[in-house]
Amino acid sequence: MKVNIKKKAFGTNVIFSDFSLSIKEGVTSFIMAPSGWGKTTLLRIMAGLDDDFEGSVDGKSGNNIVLFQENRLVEGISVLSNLKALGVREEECIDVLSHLSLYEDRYKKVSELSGGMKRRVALSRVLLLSGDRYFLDEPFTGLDDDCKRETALYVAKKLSGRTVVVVSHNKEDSLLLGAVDTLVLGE
Amino acid sequence: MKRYISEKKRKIFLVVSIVFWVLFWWTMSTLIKEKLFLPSPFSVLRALVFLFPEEEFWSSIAFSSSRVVLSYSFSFLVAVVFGVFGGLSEKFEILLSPLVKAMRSIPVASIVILVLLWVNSRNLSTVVSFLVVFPILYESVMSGVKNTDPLLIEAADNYRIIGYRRLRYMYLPSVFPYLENGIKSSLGLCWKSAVAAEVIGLPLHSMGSKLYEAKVYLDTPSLFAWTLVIVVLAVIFEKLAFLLLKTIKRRVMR
Repeated sequence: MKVNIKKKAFGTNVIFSDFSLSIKEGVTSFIMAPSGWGKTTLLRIMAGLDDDFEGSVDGKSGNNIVLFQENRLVEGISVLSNLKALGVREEECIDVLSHLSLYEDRYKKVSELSGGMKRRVALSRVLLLSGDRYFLDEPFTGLDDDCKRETALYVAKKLSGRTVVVVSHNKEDSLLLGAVDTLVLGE
Repeated sequence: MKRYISEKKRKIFLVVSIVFWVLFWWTMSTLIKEKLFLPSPFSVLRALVFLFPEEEFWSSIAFSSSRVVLSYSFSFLVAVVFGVFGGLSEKFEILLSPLVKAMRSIPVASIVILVLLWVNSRNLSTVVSFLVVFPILYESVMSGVKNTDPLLIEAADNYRIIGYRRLRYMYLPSVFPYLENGIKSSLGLCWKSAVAAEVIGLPLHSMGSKLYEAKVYLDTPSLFAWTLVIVVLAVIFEKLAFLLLKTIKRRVMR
């Protein structure tokens, strides 16, 4: 996958100019950059969610699954209902929830969960879908260290052999996910 | 606003307030001394007791209530379907907007007389309540759909959540609170407009025609008694509807 951005701007604020990047298929790539650098913008361009820029992205066709920066869950319904909305079998949902230590909380409303738990529900949703590529935006926001390690291992296992792009400001996440390529940008 | 009175004390105070107003009514009626203008609470109660054993009383209640239920259910179904379309498509919303605005702003009395030209008086109240209730429910469903978080919708697009699952899990939880408010504000109106339509259309064996008869015969105690019956029925229906809504909510929001 090749990304070539001649220019991306929000109004007069230019985010990228003459920026290019290539992503290996079938492995996990890790893009690290400080906050405010434009990680989310880059991820959205790569995933095909944002085409308001000058340049091109080659090899983005197919089903790109995105873990958004925000959790984007339906707060008023249960964890399980949020997953069932995907149209996957309940046993699969239960399986993923158990691995992310959310089994006990499956009937709880999302609004009753902590930030870290919500993040794991959002991750579960992504892991339940089969896509051609996965784009994860700060996947472990709000998770404490132990939980983060456990979660990262499961994510790495579930998505092994797939094309995964992770953006984060935390270098440690790269090791936890066993990323093959690590790009440090904005330094 | 902060409440300073506890729930239990509020209830007691409410009962005291009701007693106060009934006493006030009774005092006024003894001062006026003319049953025609203001009957005493006792004469209204007596009129009510005389109504109870009459078959006509119960058949009027059955006639009018069944029409209210029919009309409300129909309005509800149409409003949900159209509201979803209106919320999803701006063109559809614009297409319906003149009609909905007209329904909202035309006085009930005009609607009644107009509709009387088209349908017979037996079905008049059904049509009139529909015209009153539909815009309220339609707009509440539409606002709910429109106010669904756009970030959530983007996620639903990305995760291919479409069709029934999209309506059930993405839109419905957002629509529900709006729908609840819509029901709260339209249920009472449904009764009021149905009775108003009956008073003008005078279908046989309806509560509206009984109100009218009471007026014609200058039987004010009966007029009050019927009014009381209508209010009580409206309250009962409201309670039943909320109970039903609560059950549905428990099933939807899980």
